[in-house]
Amino acid sequence: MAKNSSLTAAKSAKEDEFYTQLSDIEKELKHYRSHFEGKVVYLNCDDPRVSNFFHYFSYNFEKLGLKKLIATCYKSQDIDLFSEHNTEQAVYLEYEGDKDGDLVPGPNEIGIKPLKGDGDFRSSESIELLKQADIVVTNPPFSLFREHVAQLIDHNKKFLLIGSQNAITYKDVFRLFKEDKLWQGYNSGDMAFQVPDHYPPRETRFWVDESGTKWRSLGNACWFTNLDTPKRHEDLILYKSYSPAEFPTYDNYDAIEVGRTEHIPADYDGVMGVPITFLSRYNPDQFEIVGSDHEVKDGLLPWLVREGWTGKVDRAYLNGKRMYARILIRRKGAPA
Amino acid sequence: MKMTIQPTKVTVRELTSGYQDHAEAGVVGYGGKLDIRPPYQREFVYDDKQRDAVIDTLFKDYPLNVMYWAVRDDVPEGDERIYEVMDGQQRTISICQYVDSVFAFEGRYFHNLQPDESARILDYELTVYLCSGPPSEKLAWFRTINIAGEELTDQEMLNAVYAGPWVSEAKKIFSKNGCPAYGLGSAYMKGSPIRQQYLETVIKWFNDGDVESYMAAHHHDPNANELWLYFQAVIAWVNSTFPKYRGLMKGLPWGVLYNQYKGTSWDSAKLEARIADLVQNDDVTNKKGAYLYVLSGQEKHLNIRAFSPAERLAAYERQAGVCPVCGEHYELNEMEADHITPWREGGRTSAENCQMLCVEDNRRKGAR
Ligand SMILES: C[S@@+](CC[C@H](N)C(=O)[O-])C[C@H]1O[C@@H](n2cnc3c(N)ncnc32)[C@H](O)[C@@H]1O
Repeated sequence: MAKNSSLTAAKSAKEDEFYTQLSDIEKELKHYRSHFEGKVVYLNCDDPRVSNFFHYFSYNFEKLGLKKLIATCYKSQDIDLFSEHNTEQAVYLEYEGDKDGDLVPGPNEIGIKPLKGDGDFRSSESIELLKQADIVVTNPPFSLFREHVAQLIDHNKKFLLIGSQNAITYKDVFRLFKEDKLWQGYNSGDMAFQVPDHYPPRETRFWVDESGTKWRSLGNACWFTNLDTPKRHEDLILYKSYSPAEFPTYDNYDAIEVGRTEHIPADYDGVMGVPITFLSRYNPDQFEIVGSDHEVKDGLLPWLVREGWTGKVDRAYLNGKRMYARILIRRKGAPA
Repeated sequence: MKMTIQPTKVTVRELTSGYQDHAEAGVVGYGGKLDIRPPYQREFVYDDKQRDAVIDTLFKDYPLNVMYWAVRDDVPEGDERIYEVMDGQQRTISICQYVDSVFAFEGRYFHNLQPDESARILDYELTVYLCSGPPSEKLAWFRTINIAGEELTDQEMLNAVYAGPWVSEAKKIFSKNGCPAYGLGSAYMKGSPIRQQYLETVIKWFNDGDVESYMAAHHHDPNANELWLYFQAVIAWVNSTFPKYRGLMKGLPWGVLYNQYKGTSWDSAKLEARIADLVQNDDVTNKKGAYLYVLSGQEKHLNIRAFSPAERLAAYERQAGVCPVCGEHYELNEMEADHITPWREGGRTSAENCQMLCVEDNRRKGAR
């Protein structure tokens, strides 16, 4: 029994081949056009040709004014198939724009080059390609999301990635939010992805379309980026004013509970606990992220624990009730 | 002046020139002269299939349905937008976005098309009816051809035909996401500002349900202060009359209550005590109605629970089938249940307080 369940766990842990739809890429990328002029774009977790990321950037090469497009096909040599992880030697593609004047990327214009290894984004070959790049855009395997982001930060690269909003609660990812090194893009919420044929059916968030293609969806997909956007500088309009009755102080933290982002009081100077979805509206000119309940638990924010409190600090508690995950923020410019 | 409807041809090249999408601040095209989506109007989104069907039509050179543009009769100085899309907004946005290469059709973006293909798209002619004339006639015409419900809500249509400084100012206060009216009143209002539901509701309150004549009368006003002051007064009155907030208060016809009861001086502590009682009373099935009831005294707002079959039967058995008013015997189905102590005097909907009266006596009692 135990053996069996660990087997399923191992199997499901590997199920992160989710292929992004072109329209989801278009809906997000239309907001970043100006960032791509003269840039080298690298798709480092990809299955080119069938990948809509490759499609988007190759077909928009001239429109965006790209310098070069590079894509690695992880464990795959057959660029027309989704990666079946059937080879330990992979290839990568390079595209430098339309040469024959037919205005579309043709097979002869896309260079296919062999890699010695399997195209893992952590391999030295991939790192060499990364060094050439200005912006990495991809939907990395969910199981490797942390490592993927960490690598981009280490190499000081710009990026635009699809992930799950759960990633916000990972300690290292959250720290990047706090340090203003990463933020949410425009779209978040429901997103549908094509999945390989061999993926087993599931009870929820799974369907097969008329053409027999299998789909799965995420309810909390979102884009993570460090490209600046106008959205990130839009002030959230605040219309509530603070009252202790409406915004009670937690039992254990020196902060008030704000159950909905829109309800943040305009005139409160102290620390406020808000839901994680706050980050999709976060404007660093308006608020400062003080930390998270995780960080209080880890002893990183001792000053936030209420004096004399000896109980739990793993989450915020209100009248003895354990709250959902909270991010702790403060109004910018509030007197300390 | 009569209304005129003038058919004209507009090419995709002309339509998409100067196309700019400023998100909430609006979308313009046709060399800046066409308001495709006015500021603070909800954003329509065609799904991918509908959008693709429009582009497919252009490629095949099939005709698209006629579109209607209103010619604005009141264009402020410095504003280039002299036309407004009344019908065809989604098709127009689909076309403009495609030509701007925002999305691909059958894998290719507009800039990937061969020159002859893109020329064909740009040369495609749309049929547009330009409608000019007095707003009331335009409105009547648009209502007849039934644009409302399809693309525009009635209030959006009213905003379009009465476009001018008043509408612009009113939208700033009542129709933006996070607008002042929302900030002040969202706890008491249902609906969304961007769908023009706040604006519509408040005009209805102010003008006894007649939105159109209010807008016609104020079409040329420089600002919407009158409506804003009114709304502030309504919310202030609600706050002082019912200082304790309950979720039940959201979406009640506050303006109507304000209009009718603002002159009376209410003891808010007493009102609160009665409401607290009513919302806990199991006989009250419409808890929201408590607010209307304490002001108007009309029981109908409470939707008081009817006696259950068991309660009726218990009373019938107790009376041995005899109507206590006329003393005659009746079958159960010839009698109706009645509160012995009336509900408003504290009588409850319970077996002890139930009596069965013959139909006629019950009617007579009700009529008193
Ligand atoms: C979530 S899928 C996204 C695929 C594609 N970019 C898209 O969105 O359509 C993750 C991709 O990463 C590839 N992959 C898995 N492990 C990898 C690794 N260690 N290094 C690079 N790519 C990897 C998988 O083959 C898969 O194609």
